[in-house]
Amino acid sequence: MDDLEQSLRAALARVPAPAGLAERILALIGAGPMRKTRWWRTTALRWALAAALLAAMAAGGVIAYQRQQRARGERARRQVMLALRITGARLHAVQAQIVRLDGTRGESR
Amino acid sequence: MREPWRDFETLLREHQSMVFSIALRITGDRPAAEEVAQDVFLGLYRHLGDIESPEHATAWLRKVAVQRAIDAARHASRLPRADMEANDLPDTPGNGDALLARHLERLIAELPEQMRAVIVLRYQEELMPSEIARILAMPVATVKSNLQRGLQLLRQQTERTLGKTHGRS
Repeated sequence: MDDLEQSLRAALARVPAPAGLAERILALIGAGPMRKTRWWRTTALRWALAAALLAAMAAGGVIAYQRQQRARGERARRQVMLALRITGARLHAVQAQIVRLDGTRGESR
Repeated sequence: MREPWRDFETLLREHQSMVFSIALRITGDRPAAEEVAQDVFLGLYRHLGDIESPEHATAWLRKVAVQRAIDAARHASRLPRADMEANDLPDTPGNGDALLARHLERLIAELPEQMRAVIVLRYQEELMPSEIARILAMPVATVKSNLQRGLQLLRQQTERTLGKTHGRS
């Protein structure tokens, strides 16, 4: 080995990485120190998901209840209409009978 | 269970100086070297599952650092050289001839990229020509000739500038 090679080894000794390089890389990948402070994100996400699930379930329940109520109302409306039609038909029949009776009385006099 | 050495943060903290130094000596530019180091470690994070041992991690980091640094140096060489001053090179170590070390760093920064990489891997990383050949994917004979020519160029330039006191002993 000559002087030049020795000088090269000295000149090319490893240098320390810039301060904060590792932290910047860890921040980029979301690992390391960030992983330790990120617990709140996970917790908040879990709560948000639970709240969203509850809201979806509540909305689903309300919609199902409204549909059920509408169907019940529609059934009641149909029953009322049928009852009115039956009543109307009966009244019509009674009226016709009265008219017929009045006619026969007039003829007998 | 995951092996402790495979922990990314451990690998990062253990090898950041090596990766940054390789990148700095090949690019001759601190911001570029920092960018290369960042890129290399992000690559390691993506390929962590393929790494088989601590030695494999070191070899992988060296290889990728050299490749990315050569790419960055080639890209920079196509740009105006105003921002490529040797001021970006690190301060020379306190021991030894500081003036000579600074001069050598400047001369190394002027070598062709491939030759610069060979010199850095030989004298910074203390690798044998066969190991350098594997990293740079070139025949061992090419590594040796690059080393010889590189040393010859550095010696000539050094002797021209500082006199023959630093020649072959």
